[in-house]
Amino acid sequence: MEYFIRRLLLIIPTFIGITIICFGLIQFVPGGPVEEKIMQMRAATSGEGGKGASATTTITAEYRKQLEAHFGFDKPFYKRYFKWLITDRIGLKMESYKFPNKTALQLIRERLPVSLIFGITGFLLSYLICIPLGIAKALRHGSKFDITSSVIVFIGYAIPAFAFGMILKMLLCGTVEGLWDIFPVTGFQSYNFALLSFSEKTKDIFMHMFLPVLCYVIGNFAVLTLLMKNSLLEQIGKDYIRTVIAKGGSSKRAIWGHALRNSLIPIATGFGGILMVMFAGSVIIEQIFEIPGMGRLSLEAIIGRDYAVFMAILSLTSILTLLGNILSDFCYVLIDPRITFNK
Amino acid sequence: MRFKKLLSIFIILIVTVAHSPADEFFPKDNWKDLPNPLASPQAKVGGEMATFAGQYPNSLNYYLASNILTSEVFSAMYDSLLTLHPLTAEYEPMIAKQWSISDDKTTFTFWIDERARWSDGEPITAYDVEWTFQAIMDPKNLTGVFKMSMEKFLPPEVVDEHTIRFTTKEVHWRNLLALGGLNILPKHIFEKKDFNKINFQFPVVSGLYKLGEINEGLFIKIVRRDNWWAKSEQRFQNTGNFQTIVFRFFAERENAFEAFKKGLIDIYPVYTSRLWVNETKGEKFEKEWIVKQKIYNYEPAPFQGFAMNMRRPPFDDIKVRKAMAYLLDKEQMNRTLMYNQYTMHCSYFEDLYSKEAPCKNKVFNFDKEKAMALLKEAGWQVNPQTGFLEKNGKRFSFKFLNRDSSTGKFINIYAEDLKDIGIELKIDQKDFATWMKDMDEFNFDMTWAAWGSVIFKDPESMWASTEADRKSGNNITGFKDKVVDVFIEKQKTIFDVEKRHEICRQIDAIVTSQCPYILIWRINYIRLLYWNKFGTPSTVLSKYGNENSAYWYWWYDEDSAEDLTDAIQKGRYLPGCKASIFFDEEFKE
Repeated sequence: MEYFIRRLLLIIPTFIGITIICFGLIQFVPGGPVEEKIMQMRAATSGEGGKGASATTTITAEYRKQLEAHFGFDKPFYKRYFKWLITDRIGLKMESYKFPNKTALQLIRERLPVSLIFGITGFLLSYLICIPLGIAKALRHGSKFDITSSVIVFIGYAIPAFAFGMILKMLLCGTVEGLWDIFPVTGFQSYNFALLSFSEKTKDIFMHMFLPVLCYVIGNFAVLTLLMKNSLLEQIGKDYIRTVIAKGGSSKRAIWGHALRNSLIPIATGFGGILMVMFAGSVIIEQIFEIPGMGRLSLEAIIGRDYAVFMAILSLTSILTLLGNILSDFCYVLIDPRITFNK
Repeated sequence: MRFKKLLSIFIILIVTVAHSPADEFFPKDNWKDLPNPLASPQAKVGGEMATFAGQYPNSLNYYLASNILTSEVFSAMYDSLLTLHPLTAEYEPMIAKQWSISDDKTTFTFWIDERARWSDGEPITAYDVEWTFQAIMDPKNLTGVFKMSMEKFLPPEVVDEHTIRFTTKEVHWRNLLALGGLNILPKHIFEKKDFNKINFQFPVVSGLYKLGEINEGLFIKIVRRDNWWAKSEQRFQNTGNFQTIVFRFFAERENAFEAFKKGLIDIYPVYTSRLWVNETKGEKFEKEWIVKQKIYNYEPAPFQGFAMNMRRPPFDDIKVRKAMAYLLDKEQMNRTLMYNQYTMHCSYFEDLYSKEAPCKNKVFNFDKEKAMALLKEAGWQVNPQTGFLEKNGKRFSFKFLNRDSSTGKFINIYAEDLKDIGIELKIDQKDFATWMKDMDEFNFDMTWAAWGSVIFKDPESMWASTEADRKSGNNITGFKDKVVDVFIEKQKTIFDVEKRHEICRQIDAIVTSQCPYILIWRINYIRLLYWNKFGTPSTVLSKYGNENSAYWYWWYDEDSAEDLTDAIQKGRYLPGCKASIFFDEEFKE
């Protein structure tokens, strides 16, 4: 317990260290909200059929200074960091540079449903499918089932998520004539979502999220399945299992009662990640399917130099990662009481 | 006594008026409120049009975020003082029923139409105009771009509730354009609000449309108003026909195209030749369910090219710049990468020329020998040991500051041609914000720049010497020329558009000869795809407008929509539409 309290307290200086470094780094990144704002005004473009920036739009030095003051860049670093940390509650109360009517917290809250669907479904699917599959593969090691399932999960692992997404869209979304048109091509919900009944809304979200979630989890299957399989195989080959069988125990008892529990220890490292379901998402998948999730919010914040949102996401993910690590350690102790972190 | 005093005042007034320079009043006496010549009398009100918008905007307040979508929505919601005739581009009344310009062109008086009303029934007054001006000029408001165009005016004088007078510090033809285009905001609604936070709430409007449903990140809907104050004016009949216009947001244009093909979007302008040539095939296109049209109209022509930084070597040398232009094989790029869809630029003001009065500027076609000769004259020699082009022992190497990864294929071809003669081109890939910072600090050698155009050309920001050293300016190449500066000053006080255009053509000839850009290509028509369920005027789009003019001139045709549904169900063909629309052929006055 003492160890966990110490770990919890250590989160504070670690968090401050992370945020000072990141806050400092973004000050040195070339281009910022001021340039972004100016760029939007001039709508600068390039490209093959470039329609062109507004040739009549000019920005004065005074206006640039005004923008700098508006975004607070006229104040010294330490003042800005203190305001961000204390007054703006780690930036959560700070107004987004990109969406000036909303705070970073409001924007994160709006994107949470998408991330929760990604996170919870992904987490559950991964563990509910991969652990039984890994066990089944270990028990049938070398069989046709083992080889076939390995081929399938490795194909899923090998195909990049964006390519898989594009293939699924072409096959199942009606973008190619003559193929199936089952799922919506983009978006998180239909345009008439507000008018739908509860069951229709559930179906609508299911239809919109099926392909993106499939793309999201497919890559994780191989790692978790093979980790489970190899871990169980390793345990099955150990002396204590041989001892159980030698003492007259059935092989079923040896595997399900002894080996399985120990083989779950490496899997438990991922349990801490359950906290991260709130921030789950994939930039590429969200981009392909035009889903307004946390991945796209982060990307948009970085590209759009929306430091308020970027820092808020970074802070929350840092805190959740740190807490998740402690949770993973806690899971170790739960699974294997022999593990102790106290000296 | 009292009578004598009054009489003397009257006489003084008459004398003063008689000797003061006469104001010119507009519209002229012969002006009539006539129907819009481009609008179709068959147009019907109703229905919806769904269109593609890029990224979700950070504001719909055009004074705070001047992007294309915001401009469309804001101008649909808020009327301006004046409007432009769709054919002649001359000013016509809007909120201001009449206006005058003083003889010395420094004072502009506007008389507000007494019928003009906000959507809550309140009259639009001179105080609204004054407040809008004040809101723009307020130092704490982030209206920078508009401050620049308004700062030439003194604070306006409200003569009475329906009369306002602006006085300018500098005579310029642009002044009336700036004032006439001012979208007036309701003082009684916004005056107590923080202007920087008026982004998505516009409860009271003056225009034909009001803001409808907003689903952040997904779509914005604008809804037609039944009680628009100017709805009975002849010139607005048969325009603005859609009951609702939906702007759907897509971060990726490819995704928007897929949504278009599935019918989630009704109209899709194409900006790339690959999509136009390769992706518009299949049943939907062959059976004319989706109409594919090229529209040739008078949309002001943008220009694009590789801008060279003339402030520093090696591009401070005109011979080098010309050589670089000769080394770009843009015709081959057009043939091999862009399906021969484009025409080559020869001017910075392409729309100022016609078949009858063609552009006579020098065109730099691909010619390695000419380029080598020019480089030799400029002192660059091939080092026989290394094969590199060198001058004073220094290798010819430069960076191409790029911000759009899709353009890499073109720049790489250019780099290969340059490499053949010993020049090294290194691509410096940046994102938009970083590119902007480098550009502002003039920290670049060459970059790809595309510039839009407007009906009324103003060469100052792009070509004036005073703009060459100003950060965030449009004169990115650092172009300076004394003769051009004289022309720019001269055109400021010319109010005749054709005379100004003649000056622009002269400026164009000088600039082209100086080669600040390697001009590349342009498309001289609008590539448009739309579902075959709309009624359109014979010209399809307006004379000067782009694809967005469809929102104003098209209408939802119930018969066509039913026909389309039936055709899709039965897999049958719809009657064919013209593949190309030429404005001059379609429109006969």
